[in-house]
Amino acid sequence: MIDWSAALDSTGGDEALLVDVIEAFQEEAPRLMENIRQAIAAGDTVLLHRASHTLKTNLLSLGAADSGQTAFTIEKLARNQQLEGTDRLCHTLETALPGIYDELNQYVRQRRGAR
Amino acid sequence: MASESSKPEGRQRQAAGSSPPPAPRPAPAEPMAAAAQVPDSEARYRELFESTGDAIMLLDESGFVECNQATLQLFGYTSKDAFLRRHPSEVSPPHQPDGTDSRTAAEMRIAQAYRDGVARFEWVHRRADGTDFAADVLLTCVLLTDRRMLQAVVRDITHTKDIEQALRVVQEELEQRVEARTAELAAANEQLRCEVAERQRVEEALAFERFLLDTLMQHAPDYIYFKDRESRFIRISRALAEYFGLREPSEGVGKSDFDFFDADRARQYLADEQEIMRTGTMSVGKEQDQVQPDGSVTWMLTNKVPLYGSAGDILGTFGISRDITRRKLAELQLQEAKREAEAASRAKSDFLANMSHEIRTPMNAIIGITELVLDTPLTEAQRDYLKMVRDSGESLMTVINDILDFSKVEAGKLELQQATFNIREVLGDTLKSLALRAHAKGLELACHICPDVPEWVVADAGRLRQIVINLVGNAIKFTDAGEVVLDVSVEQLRESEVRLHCRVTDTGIGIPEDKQTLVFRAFEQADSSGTRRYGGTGLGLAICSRLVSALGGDLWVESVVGQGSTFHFTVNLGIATAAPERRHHVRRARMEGTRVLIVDDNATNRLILEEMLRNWHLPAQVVASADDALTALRTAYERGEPFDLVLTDANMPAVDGFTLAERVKQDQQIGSTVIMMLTSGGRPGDVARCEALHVAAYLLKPVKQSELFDAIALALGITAAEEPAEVAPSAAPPPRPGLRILLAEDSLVNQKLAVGLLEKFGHRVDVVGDGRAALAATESNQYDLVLMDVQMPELDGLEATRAIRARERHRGGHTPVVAMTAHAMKGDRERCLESGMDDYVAKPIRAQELWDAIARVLPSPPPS
Repeated sequence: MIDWSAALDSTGGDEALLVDVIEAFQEEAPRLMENIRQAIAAGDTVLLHRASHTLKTNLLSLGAADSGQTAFTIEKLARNQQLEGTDRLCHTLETALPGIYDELNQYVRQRRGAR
Repeated sequence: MASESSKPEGRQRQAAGSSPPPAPRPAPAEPMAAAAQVPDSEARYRELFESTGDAIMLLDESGFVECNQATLQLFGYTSKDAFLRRHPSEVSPPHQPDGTDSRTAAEMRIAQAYRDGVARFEWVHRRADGTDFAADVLLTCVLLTDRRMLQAVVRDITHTKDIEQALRVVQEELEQRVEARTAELAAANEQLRCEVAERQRVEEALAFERFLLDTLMQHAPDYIYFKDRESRFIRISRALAEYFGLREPSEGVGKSDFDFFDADRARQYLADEQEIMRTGTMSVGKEQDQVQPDGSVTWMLTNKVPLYGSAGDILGTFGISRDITRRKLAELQLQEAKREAEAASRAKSDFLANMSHEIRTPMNAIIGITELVLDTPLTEAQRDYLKMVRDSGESLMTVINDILDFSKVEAGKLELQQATFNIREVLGDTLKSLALRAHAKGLELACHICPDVPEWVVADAGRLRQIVINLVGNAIKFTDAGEVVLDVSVEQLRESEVRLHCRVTDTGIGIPEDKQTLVFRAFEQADSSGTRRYGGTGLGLAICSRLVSALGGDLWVESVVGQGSTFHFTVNLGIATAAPERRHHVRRARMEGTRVLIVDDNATNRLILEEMLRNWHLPAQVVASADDALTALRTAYERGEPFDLVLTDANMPAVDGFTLAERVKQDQQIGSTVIMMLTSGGRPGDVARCEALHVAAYLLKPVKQSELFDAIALALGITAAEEPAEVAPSAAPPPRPGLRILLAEDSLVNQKLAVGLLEKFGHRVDVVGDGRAALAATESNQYDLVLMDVQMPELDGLEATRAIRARERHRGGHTPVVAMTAHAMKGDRERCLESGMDDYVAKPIRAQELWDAIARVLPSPPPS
């Protein structure tokens, strides 16, 4: 699910920095998902746009291209003030994220072990 | 004559009858031979002689012998004695009307009567009172007592004559009248004949007209009709009758469209025609579809025209329709095909755009990572290999960019962006980016922009830059020694537009004449042999050529093999109406009068530098070598007008710029002269040498006008606190480490990433989460750079930047702001720059891109 070369490209090949970034992502991503869920429920396309935009960038920075695309689709719909279909996409993201978290955790554990 | 004379004779006889009988006279003679044999015939004759009303005389050659009473009356004599013995000519005028002498004529008549026995003729007599009268004279030969004598019977025919005359006049008149009448008749006849002919001609013409009209109505394949004011058909063509399913056109007369079309359509036609009659204007080329009874659709092209009567009143309408179904179907198919083709073209463009992204992204990664690895400790061999990887990657990127560019241009997708820019800055920066390549080959690279070229122009700077990079890049590629010069001059200057003529001249290998047109074609190079010395796609000039056309200009080449080439191009640029205010004035005024010595072995550079200085009213002397420079400096000093500033090239044959600087500094008299060095750079230790020699400024060639100006101002200690610094100085060496950077970014992940990368470069980073905080942070702290996320809560990056710029307008200063945006869409860059940002990087952030962006906005500070 994760393209590690892309992820490392983001940090200029710095693995330690990548670990920091992953930790930040694990802290931020659940919050963004919560924002997305709330925004869809409340019909708040402004919040939905911002949250999905940030989540998209985060996912792409970490090489999670597929989920990044899903978030991007939500962002585009939100920019057009369209809510229809966003709940389904949100569900897709929710389903995919645990796998991403696992893979990232695995990497972090390996890095820590290496240290 | 005889019968006509009988009437007046009758009247005379009556008149004579009423007169007394002639006096008894002795018988003059026997009137006739036969009568003489009768005994009493003489008496009878005498009685006859006297009683007859006619004037009767007896005469012989000598004259009248006897006469009756009537004679005396006729001639107006009172007695016989007065009359007798006279010759007839004596009772006549001297001449007869035909001019003959009366005596001679009378004798001739008398002789004739004797000879022939009788003579009758007309004669003019003269009465006793002298008046003349016309007479009819009958001379008869008679025997009287055996003596031959003549009896004359004279009748006055004056009346007869008059009547004759009158008759003749009447006759003539009559004849004239008849003649005139005949002529009149002839003329009338002629006129009639003409009228008949004319009428015949008109009838023939009319018949021909009718023939033409009938032919038209019978055989034209078009649907032709005439309608009355109620839109009922007056006449229709056979084709239309057939279209209506009628046997004969006459069957259509009196019917209307309601009899042939569905009600909606008929109503529409009726409305059309009423409109035409109301306005008197025709409707031309209207295309309408009609559903046939069998459900098929036909298309009609119809012209409808008001039908004017001879008095100018509108009698109805007429029109011609044509079946254009086939054409229309072809047209619709064509449109469909066009739509499909456009869709295919769009799909291709999208594919290309995607491909570009798909290829460029990993290529950037390859190049970027390779560069990062190159920064780490490596063996020499590893370094060489990695450099090859990087260089190959870069050339691959160039090829891909060329191909994408070319396909974009070919597909007509080239979009020109109009923006105001400083042409000297843009072209100067462009050449600077190529300087390294030129200097690596030991080439002189120069840029000369004529002073009359407007400073601020409106055009697509990116495209202009692309053209120049291509042409200058080519020139460098194909030149092994000498120089490459970009020369820009004004070809035509108008109020709001300028046409520039740009020349890129090199001293390279040149292009053979037969290859000179070939080089502008796609995928062609002058050297197309299998073992090409020079790489490249061969697309560069083809792209340039199209870009130049897009900018409204021409591209052409002049070249001599072995001597070099000049690529010419022209471009039309707008002249910025509200050019950004120039900030030089104050410093320039203070700079005026500074005496400058220019030292350069390259003639082109000398010219360019001299011209730049002249523009700022700085008198400059120009020399070509260090030795000449020292002489000039000393001479000037001795003259009491020492030079204030020496502008010297670093790399010169014989004595170089550094040695010159050394000698100047060692000189007691001229040692205080300020020295500025122009160099091709690249040589390690140059900066150190400059600092050791107290060289005031060290500029990379080709030097930009603004850069030179700033450097001179700085070197001469002319500061301008009253002016804000120039925006975005040019790019050059890597940014110095240890910048103080503000990162405005709401995402935790991006914060970590950006901070991590920036700290790796040795920068200090403050982080804020939104635009408002960024505004506050820049208020209380001095940052070298702000990295600004575009999309943030509270205040987004664009608004925050606008606020920062607004504040700077009051307080001065300029903090570079680099945007970080994930949109990467067309127009994003423009929106960022419009808000006052200096540059931008795309998200997700890549180490290399971030590094590049910072280098662009924050070059090394000038040495001081």
